[in-house]
Amino acid sequence: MGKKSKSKTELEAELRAIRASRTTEAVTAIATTLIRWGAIVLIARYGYLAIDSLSGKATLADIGISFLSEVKVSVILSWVAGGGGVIYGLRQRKLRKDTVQSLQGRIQQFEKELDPRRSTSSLTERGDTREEDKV
Amino acid sequence: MNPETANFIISLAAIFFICVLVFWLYRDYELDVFRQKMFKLRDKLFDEARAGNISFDDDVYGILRSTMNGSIRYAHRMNFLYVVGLYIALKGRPPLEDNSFSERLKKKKSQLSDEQRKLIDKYQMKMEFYMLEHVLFSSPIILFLVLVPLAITVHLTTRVKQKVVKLFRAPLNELDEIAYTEGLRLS
Repeated sequence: MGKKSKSKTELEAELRAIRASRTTEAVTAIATTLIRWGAIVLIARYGYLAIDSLSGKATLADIGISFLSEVKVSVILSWVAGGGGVIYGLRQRKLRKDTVQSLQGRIQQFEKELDPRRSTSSLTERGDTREEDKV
Repeated sequence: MNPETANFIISLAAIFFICVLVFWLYRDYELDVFRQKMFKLRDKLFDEARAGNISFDDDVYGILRSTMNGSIRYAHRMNFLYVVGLYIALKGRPPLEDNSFSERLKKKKSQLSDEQRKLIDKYQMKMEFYMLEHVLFSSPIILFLVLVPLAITVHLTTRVKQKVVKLFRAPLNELDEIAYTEGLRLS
């Protein structure tokens, strides 16, 4: 699609919209980061408090051994199943991205033969967000 | 160590991994799902042009494709908080090019035949529905609040999807505007 030249008013309006977009992105990025890491910090805090309550009463080795003796087989099996599921998912994702990387160049080339002005989303070769686009 | 403390630590570890799953792994997965849907839609639109149902040189084709490209590239920024913030930030300001994204597209569509217009309407509706889906489902908190509609969404008919898109017309216009502007910068 050919670009028509824009008037000063249109360019100013576009600049205002992009500025509003960037500001909103920055604010939401801060909010979502606070929520995510706030949860992790809270968990770490309560974990520390739980271990700290044992200080002076037992060594780390004692704590480790008594912890393992309290853990049931069913709990261990659940963790193995959950962890295994996550590893499976990550491996499948890697396989998918490898496939994208191997195919995307050929697809772009063939489509450009039909539409020389073919536009692109400009993601990375593996279909990931570009580093410079991350907030 | 007493059993209660051991259970407490195990529960904490489980909550930690659930946080990682919800706030990182699920968000990455949902982002990839949205991009995959948009790529598929974009490819289908390309195939329509290749089949001669619409021209590669039509303005409407270019606008839709640029908007899809922009939404694919910047999908990681499109979440519920962002859309609400953007809507508030841009409310009341004079729209780009004197009218909204949907109005401008409507004017360009008037140059097409009835069949072509119906085709473009179908792709525009799907594109905007996917964007709306992504905005809602990329937020784990919103996701938990709409679990039942989540199950229903899969079975929504085209008519209902059209009504949902119409309901969220105003914020979708802002989102389309930004996605199109970003997409145009890529071409």
